[in-house]
Amino acid sequence: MAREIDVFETQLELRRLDKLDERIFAEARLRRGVYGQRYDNGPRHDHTRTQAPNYHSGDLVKGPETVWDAPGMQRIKIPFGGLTPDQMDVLANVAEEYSEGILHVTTRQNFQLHFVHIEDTPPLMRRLASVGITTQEACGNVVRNVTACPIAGVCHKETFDVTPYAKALSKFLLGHPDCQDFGRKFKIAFSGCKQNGCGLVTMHDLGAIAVKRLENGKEKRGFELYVGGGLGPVPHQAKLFDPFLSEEELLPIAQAIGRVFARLGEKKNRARARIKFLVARFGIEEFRKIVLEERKILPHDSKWTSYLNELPAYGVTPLKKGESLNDGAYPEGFDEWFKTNVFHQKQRGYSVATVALPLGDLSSHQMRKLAEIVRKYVGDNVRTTVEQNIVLRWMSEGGLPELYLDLKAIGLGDPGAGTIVDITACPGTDTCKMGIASSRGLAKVLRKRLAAKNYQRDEAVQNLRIKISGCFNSCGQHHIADIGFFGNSRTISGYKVPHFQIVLGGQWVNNAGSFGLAIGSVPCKKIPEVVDRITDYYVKNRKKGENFQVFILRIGKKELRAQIEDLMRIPPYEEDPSFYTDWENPREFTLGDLGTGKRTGEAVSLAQFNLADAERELFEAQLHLDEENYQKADRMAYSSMVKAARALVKQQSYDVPEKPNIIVSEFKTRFYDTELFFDRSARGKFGKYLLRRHQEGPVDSTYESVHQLIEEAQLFIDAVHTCYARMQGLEIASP
Amino acid sequence: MELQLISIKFFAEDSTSVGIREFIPIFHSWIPKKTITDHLLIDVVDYSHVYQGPGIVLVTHEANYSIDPVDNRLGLPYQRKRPIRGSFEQRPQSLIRVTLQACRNLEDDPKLKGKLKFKGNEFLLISNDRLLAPNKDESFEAISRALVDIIPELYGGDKFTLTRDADRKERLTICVKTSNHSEVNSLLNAQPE
Repeated sequence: MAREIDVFETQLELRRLDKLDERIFAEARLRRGVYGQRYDNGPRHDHTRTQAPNYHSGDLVKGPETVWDAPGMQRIKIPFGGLTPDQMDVLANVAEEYSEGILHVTTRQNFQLHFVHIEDTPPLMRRLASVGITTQEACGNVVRNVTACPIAGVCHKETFDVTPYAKALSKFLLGHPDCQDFGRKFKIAFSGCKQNGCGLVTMHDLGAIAVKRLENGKEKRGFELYVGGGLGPVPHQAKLFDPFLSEEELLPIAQAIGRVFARLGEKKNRARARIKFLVARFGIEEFRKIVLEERKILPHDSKWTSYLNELPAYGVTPLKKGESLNDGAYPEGFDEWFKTNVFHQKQRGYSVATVALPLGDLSSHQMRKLAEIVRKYVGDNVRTTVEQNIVLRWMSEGGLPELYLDLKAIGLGDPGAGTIVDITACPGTDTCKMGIASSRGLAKVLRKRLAAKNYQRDEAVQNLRIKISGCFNSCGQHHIADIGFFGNSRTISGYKVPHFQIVLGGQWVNNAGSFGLAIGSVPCKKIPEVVDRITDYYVKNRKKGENFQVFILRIGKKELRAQIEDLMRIPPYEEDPSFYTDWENPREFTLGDLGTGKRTGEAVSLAQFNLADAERELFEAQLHLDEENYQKADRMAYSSMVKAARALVKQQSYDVPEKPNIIVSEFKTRFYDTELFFDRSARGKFGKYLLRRHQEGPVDSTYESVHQLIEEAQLFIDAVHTCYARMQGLEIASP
Repeated sequence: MELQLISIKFFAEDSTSVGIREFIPIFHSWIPKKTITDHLLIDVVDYSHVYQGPGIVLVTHEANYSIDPVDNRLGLPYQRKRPIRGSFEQRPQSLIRVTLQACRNLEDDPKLKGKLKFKGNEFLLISNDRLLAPNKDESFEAISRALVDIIPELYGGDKFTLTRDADRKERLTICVKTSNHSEVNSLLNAQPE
């Protein structure tokens, strides 16, 4: 680790002296978890105008269009979420000294620190290395943090504890030569069982579910191995690579998959460079053959299996003896906390206590105090979770009331873990360059509102999961939420209005079993009412024992949309300007942080009308998908994209006929080839969705293919909105 | 001692006088107005959801300004992030001045309508660098020597005390208290430019 940090520090110095190419340095720093942050490449809208901060570093950059002095984000890897109290102490210290004193738990069990200066990153890394934490390969086109169930080893339903396997694979692949030439990131997850959600295996590039079988009368451990899953703008379910991969083959097969990805994966077109596209290109059968061929020629590596020798000795020695919780008088609030935050382990007398973190955040002070608590009650048995919380495992149940009081004293005794109030949100517009609407702002508001009413709610609603992403990239994992949201924007009478697309019926259990589908965009200020309406409707109309996913499928998106249609209406600015600001932000909403422009007059109305029509058609496509009318759904999704494209083309060629060939050709010439359609982050990615569908014709008549097309069409239409607004030169200004 | 990363914190006289979230639009408004000189103002972050956390933070390139509720006391810490000019002995003085100026800006802000007043006769000096100045006697003594020279310039002949919390895990935090009540304006007037 020390050598890696020294190398990075040298690279940093060379970049500062302009002796290292900025692109190479950008990849180098990403591979150390040194990320960019909002405003690091340009303007910030400050409510009166958009202007770029005048950093002292002048033209010096830390990557293409990324100003040297601009604050950045440091991602810190925590393999399988496993922490020790000593690590917690150092994390607390570095957050205080190099950041603003806040640690953020991510949806991949990492920590993130924000507003970190690039020159502070080497000493920060050294401090972390002193307690065995690395930031190496936390970002970049490499194997990212390996995640695993936070209750691995203590879960009733698990086949076996996946922790040593997750640890071994994480260590094996870190810096591995066969994993250094990927076109895109690669995410791995482990789960101890198939039915729960904790591991989220099927939405990962590589996922492993623990399984056992008998071989020659002996019980053999292995993994149901999946490959090619991913969320992103368009989610993909992973494909089954092997129903039983022996434990001895886990590391070599992962290596072989890495080599195949490096060799055959897309490198130029970033939008198609995840392994899911490679698997789709070959089909899983052919992909498997290629990997197995690669496996045959791998030079032997003793590390593939040497860790297995240590497994018999692997185990946990609890800090305290397991004792039942005694009946008696408990502290105020304990019952509520116990009901939601305590999970009885399979080991008698022990529980897992969840520390629910608001928006995944805790302060340095809290972290330090939590480290003391951990030492007192559970020793080294702490994990972060993908729901942005921290769990204390092997907690003797007899000590729970005292633990609760200790947590409460430092503001970490909130109940509601894993319930509807425990909302997952990505950093969004707070710090992320890609954020469109404020995911954290909305999460704060919802959390407060739902907490006030949570215990009056029907139990079926209490345990729903809400997840929020600030944009289409699904870092908040909105696709697998019962109720998901992702940020977008609409233009109303010359103003930009923050919205969230509603995604219902995603499945957290069964390892991210299925993805939700969008039912419509609602202005952000109306989202709390959306939550109320949908949950009330569910309670009133569900059948006995019917879970939310089944309910959504049964009712259908048309009826659900009808429940919230009126909430999509936006009052004029003069009537209610609050709609024109985002949650928790006094500045009027703008995409000026992502782009610039000036406001003009009312000529938007025809285009808006046409775009609304395109969205209506897309919604109808979703309904046909639900009814398994795949061909019709495909046609309508395509038609919706053509309609949206026509709305745009009409801005330059008013008389463009309603002929798809002409519309698409005009779109390509006027908007795609000129890059007028491109935005900073997605570039032309969404434009390609239309071009590809037009060129290749109808997609396969399967649910999966049509579902994907519909997702792509939604993104295309959103991108048309954005492009249109940019063309009109919209800038927020008070009338 | 080459300690650069120093925080100075002053406290409100009445911690209940202003809700913490009222500072969000105020800090936002400082950015286009460039209210704070010699600092590049970047963004405002709301951590009011974190129990006794950093509260509302105004991020600048040189330092972070916050309004926080730590220990149930509303306070304004100025946390330096980038090196400052001057000798070690001069640095606390510069930072005290900068922090007092921010206090005055807030006191004078029309949105607060005069509700907020800061206590001038107490402040914290925090070492935000455990490597250079950990929470040990030697660091405390070195910084105290510098403070002992500065305080009379700030507070005239008032008696004062310097104390610290000896928890080794926490940052070195020196509490300066003087015997007489002081207002922000008078302290600023007493400061050399």
